[in-house]
Amino acid sequence: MAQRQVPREVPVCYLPRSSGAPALVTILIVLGLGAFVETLLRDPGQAWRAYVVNWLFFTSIATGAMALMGATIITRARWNWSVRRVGLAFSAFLPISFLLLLPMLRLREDYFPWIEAMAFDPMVQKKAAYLNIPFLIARNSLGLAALCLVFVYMAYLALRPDLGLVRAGGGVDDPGRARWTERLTRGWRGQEEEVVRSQRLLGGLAPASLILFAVVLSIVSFDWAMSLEPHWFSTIFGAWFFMGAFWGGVAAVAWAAVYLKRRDPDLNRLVGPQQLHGLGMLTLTLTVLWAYLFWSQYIVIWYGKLPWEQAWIILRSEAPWAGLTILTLILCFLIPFGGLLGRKPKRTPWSLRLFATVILVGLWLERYLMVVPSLHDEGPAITLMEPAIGLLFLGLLLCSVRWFLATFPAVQLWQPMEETESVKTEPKGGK
Amino acid sequence: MMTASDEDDQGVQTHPDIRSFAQVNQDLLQMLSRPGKGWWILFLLSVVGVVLFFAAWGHVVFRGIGVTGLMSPVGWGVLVTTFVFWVGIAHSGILISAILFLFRAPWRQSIYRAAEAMAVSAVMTAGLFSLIYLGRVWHAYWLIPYPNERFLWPNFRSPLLWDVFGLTAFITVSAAFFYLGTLPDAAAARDHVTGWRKRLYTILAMGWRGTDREWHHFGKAYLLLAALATLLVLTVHSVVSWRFAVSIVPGWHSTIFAPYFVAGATLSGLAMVITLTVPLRKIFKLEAYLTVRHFDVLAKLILLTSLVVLYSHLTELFMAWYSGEEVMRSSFWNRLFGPYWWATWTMMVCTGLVPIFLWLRRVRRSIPTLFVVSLLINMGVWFERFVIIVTSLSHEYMPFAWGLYRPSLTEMAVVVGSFGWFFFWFLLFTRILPPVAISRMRILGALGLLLVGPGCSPLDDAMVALFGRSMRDQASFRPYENPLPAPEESVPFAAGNLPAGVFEVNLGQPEGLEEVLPPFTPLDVMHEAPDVVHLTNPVFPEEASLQRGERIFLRFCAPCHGPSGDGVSGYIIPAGYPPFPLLSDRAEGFTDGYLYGIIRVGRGLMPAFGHQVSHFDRWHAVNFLRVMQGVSRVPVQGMGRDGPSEGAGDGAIPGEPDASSESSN
Repeated sequence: MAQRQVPREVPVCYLPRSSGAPALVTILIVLGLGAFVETLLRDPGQAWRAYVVNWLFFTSIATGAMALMGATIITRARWNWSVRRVGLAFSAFLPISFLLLLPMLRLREDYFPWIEAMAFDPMVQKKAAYLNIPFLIARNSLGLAALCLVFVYMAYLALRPDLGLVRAGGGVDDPGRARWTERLTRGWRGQEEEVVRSQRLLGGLAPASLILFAVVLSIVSFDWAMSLEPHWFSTIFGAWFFMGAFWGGVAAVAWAAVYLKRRDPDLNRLVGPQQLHGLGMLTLTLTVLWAYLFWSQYIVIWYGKLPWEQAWIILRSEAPWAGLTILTLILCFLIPFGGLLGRKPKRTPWSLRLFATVILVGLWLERYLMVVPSLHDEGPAITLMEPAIGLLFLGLLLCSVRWFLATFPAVQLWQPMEETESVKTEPKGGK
Repeated sequence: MMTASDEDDQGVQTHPDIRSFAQVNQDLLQMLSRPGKGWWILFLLSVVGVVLFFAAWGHVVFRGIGVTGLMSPVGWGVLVTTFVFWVGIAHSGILISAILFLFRAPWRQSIYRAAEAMAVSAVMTAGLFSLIYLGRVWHAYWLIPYPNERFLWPNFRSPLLWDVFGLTAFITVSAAFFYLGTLPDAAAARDHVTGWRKRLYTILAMGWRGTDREWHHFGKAYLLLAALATLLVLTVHSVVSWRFAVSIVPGWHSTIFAPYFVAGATLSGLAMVITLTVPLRKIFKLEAYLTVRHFDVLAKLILLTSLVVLYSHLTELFMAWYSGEEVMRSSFWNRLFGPYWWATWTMMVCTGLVPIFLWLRRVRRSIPTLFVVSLLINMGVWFERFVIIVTSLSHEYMPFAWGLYRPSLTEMAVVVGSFGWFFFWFLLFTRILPPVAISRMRILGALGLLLVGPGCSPLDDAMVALFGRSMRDQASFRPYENPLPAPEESVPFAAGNLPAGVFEVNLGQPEGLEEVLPPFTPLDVMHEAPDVVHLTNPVFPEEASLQRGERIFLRFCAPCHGPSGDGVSGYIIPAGYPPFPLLSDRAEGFTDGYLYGIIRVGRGLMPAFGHQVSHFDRWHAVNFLRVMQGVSRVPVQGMGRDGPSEGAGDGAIPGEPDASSESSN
C-alpha cells in the first residue's frame, strides 16, 4: 500500500502496555545500578569514565532523534508522517539525561587531567580561560538545560493538537493517558488555532533547536572528550561528534519504528515500507557521512605528521585499543554500508533493525574510544563493567520512550498543513 | 524538501522529473526565440570580459609569471583563489541539481538546468584556471601520468595530483549527467526544428523516442549518475580542500577543511544560481516558472549552508585560540587584525552576517534584495578562499619569512576577465539550449590543444624571433629557487636553473665561463647554422673526460639510443618510437659542435637536455660518443682532437673534468 500519502483519517493508536516491559526495564536498571556501585567501590575512576561514556552515548541518541524531528519539520517532510512520534518519544529521556548530567559536574581531578596539568604545563595554562571548573559547569548545565527545554517544549507543541483530537473523540479510558491528556491540554484555544499555533512555533523553533544542538553537543564533545588530552585539538571534532549523535538518533528511531511495528497490528499497518525505506536511506547517508568526517580528520592528521596531533590517533591505533578501533570502523561503516546499500534491506523490518543495532553498538564504541583511551592507565581495554553500567541508561531510555509512546498517540494525528502558497509542482516546462 | 504534491503521487513515483520532461517542447521554443536587448548587453559585456581575460593571461604567458604579484613567501595568490572559487561553483551546480533530484524535491524542475549550465560554464573556467595558475602552462601535461621517454612519474602523494584525477572523474561524470538530462530535450527539439539543427539534434538525441522502456532505463541511469555525481562532488571538493589542509601551514592545517570547503562551495553555488536566474528570469520572462517561492527555498538552503560555514569559521577561530600554539594564534590574529583584515572581515560579514537577514521572510521573498545578498555572498566566498590561501602563506612559522602579497593588475584582470568568460558561456547556453552544450566541449578541447601547442619547438623559436624570448625562457622563479648568482669560480652541475638576464636565453649557458657561447635554438640546429656546426670542442678526450662522458651517456642518452648507441636497444623503442642509431654514417658525419648543439637544444624528436646536462658534460658526452663511433683517435695525452678545433690551452680550460664530475656527486 502506498504509505507515502498521508491518509485522511489517522486512527488513534497507542503502544500497548505490556506486563513484561516494566519487569525488563527494572531488571536492566537494577543490573546497571549494581554494576555502577560495584565499580565505584572498586575503582571510582573506571566507574565514572564508564558513566560519562554512557551518558554521552545515550544523550547523543536522544538529542539526535529530536534533531531528526527538527530537520524533518524544517524540510516539511511528509514521508515520515507515521514515524514522527517515534522520534518525538525520545524527548522523554531528555529530562532524565539532564539529571544524570548533574553528578558528572562534580567530577574533578579524577576525570579532567587538565586540572593537574594547569599547575605546571604552560600550554594548558594558556587555555585557562576555557578550561576551568566554574565555566565548565556553567556552559554544560546551561547548554544542556536549554537544549532539553527547547526539545521538550517542541514535543509539547507537537503533542497538543493531537491530544485535543483525542479529547474531542471521546477521551481515553486508561487513567494514565487521560491524566496526561488533561494536563497537556490546559488553556485550550480550539483545534484550528492550536494546529496553526503549533505549526508556526515549531517552524520557528526547529532551526533554532538544530543550531543549539550543534553548538551544545560541540561543547560537550570538547569538554568531555577532547580536553582529556589537553594538548590535542581538532577542528572537526565537534562536527564529528554531533553528526554522530544525529546518526545515532536516526538509527535509534529506525530501531524503535520496527519495534513499534511489531507491537500492534494497527501500528504495523501505519508504519509501512515507505517509512522504513526513508529511515534506511537516512541511516545509510549518515553512515557515509560519518566515514567521511572520520576520514577528513584522519587524512589531515596522518599527512601533517605533527607529533601533538598524531598522539591522539596513535594511541588509539596501538595495543590495547587497536582491536576496538578496527571493530568500531567495521561496525560503524563496513557492515551498515554494505548491508543497507540495497533497497530490500532498508524496507525489511528485521534487517533494518539489525543494521540499526550494529550502528548503535558501533557508535557506543566510538564514544567509548573518544573518552577512555585518554584516561586509561592499565588493565584491559574494556571490561564487562562498562557495557553493564550502560544497562542503567538503556533501562531509563527504554522506560521513558515506552512510557511516551504508550501514554500519547503513537502516530501523530494532526498533519501539518501545506502552506497556502505552495511550490509550483505543475510546471509548464522545466526552466 | 520532500514536498510531495498530489501530482507527484499519481505520477511515476520514483522519478518525478519524467512527467515534465515530456512537456519541455514549448519551453525550448521559448528559449530559442530571439533574445531581447538585455541579453545582448550582457553578452557584449561578457565578450569584453573574455578579451580582457585572454589578453591578461597572454601577458602572463609571454612575460612570465613574474608579472604577477607572486613572490616568496606567497606563491599562491588570486589565481589559485579564483580557481578554487570556480571549482566550487562547478561542484555545487552539479551538487544542487543531483542532490535535489535524490531528495525528490519537485521544485528542482525550475532551477536545475540553470544550475547545471552554471556548473558546466564554471568547469570550463576552472579548467582554464587549473592551467593558468600553474604558471608555465606548457608544462601542464606533466601532471598527467603517462609512460614517457624519461621514465618520470608525477608525485602521487601530492594532493595536486589527486586533484587531477578527481577533476577528471568529476568532469566525466558531470558531463554524462548533464548530457543524459538533456537527452529528452534534444529529442523534443529534434521534432520541432528544421535544417542543420535538426540533423544535430537527431545525433544528440541518440534515437530517443520517449517510450516507456526508454523512460525506465533513463530513470535508472539518471538516478545512478545523480548518486555518483553527489558522492564525487563531495570527495573531489574535499580533495581540493586537502591540497591546503594536508600541509602544515598554520591556517591551512585544519581537520574541518573538507566539510568547510564543501559547504563554502555549496553556499557560493546557491548564491550564484540566484545571481544568474534573476536576470534570466527578466530577460526570458520566466516569472511563471521561477516563482518567488523558488527563490524562497533557495534562500533557505543558503541560510543552511551559511550556518555550516559560520560554524566552521567560529570553530577555526576557537581552535586557533584553544590550541595554545603561538603560531596558530598568531596566524589567526594576523587574519583578523593584520594587513589583510579587510579581506577577513569582508569574508566574515558576507558569509556569516549577511545570510542572517535571510531568516526574515520578507528578505527571502524580495527578489532585488535577494539578488544583492547573493552578490555579497559570492564576494564573501571568494574572499574566504583568498583569506585562507593568502593570509596563511604570508604569515607562517618564521617571523623573518613573513611577507605581503599584492596582486598585480594583470592578475586582477585575469580574475575579472574570468567572470566574462563564465558569463559568455552561460549566456550562450541559455540561448541555444542542449546542442551547444555538447559541441562547445569540443571547442574546449581544441582550445586546450592550442594552449599546449605553443610548447613545441617551432612556435617557441618563432617567439624568440618575435619577442626575443621564448616560453621556456621567462622572468620567473620556481619555489625554493635560489635567485642568488652562483659563487665565483664554482661549477654548477646543471645549467639553466639560474635566471637569465633580460632578452637572454638561459638554456644551457655555460656558467663560470668567461667567454659566453651565443644562444641558439633548435631552429639553428635544424638548419645546421655555421655558429653551431663550427663550435669548438674545448675538452680534450682524455681518460677522465671519457669516464665522465660515459656516465652522462648512460644516464641521459642510453634510454633512447640504447646503451651501445645502436638505437634499437633503447628502452623507449618498444613504446613505438623510431630508433635513431648513433653509430650510423650520418651520425658519425656530424661535427662535435653539432652534436653539442643537439644535446643542448634538441633536434627533431629528441628533446632538449640543455637544462639537465651542463656545458662541459655535453662535451664529455660528445667525446665519449666519438670513441664509441670509432671516430675519435685513441686518446693520446697532449695530442689532437676532433672537430675544427682551434686548440685552446688544455690546462687552462675552466671546469676541467675532475671539477665537473666532483660537483655532480
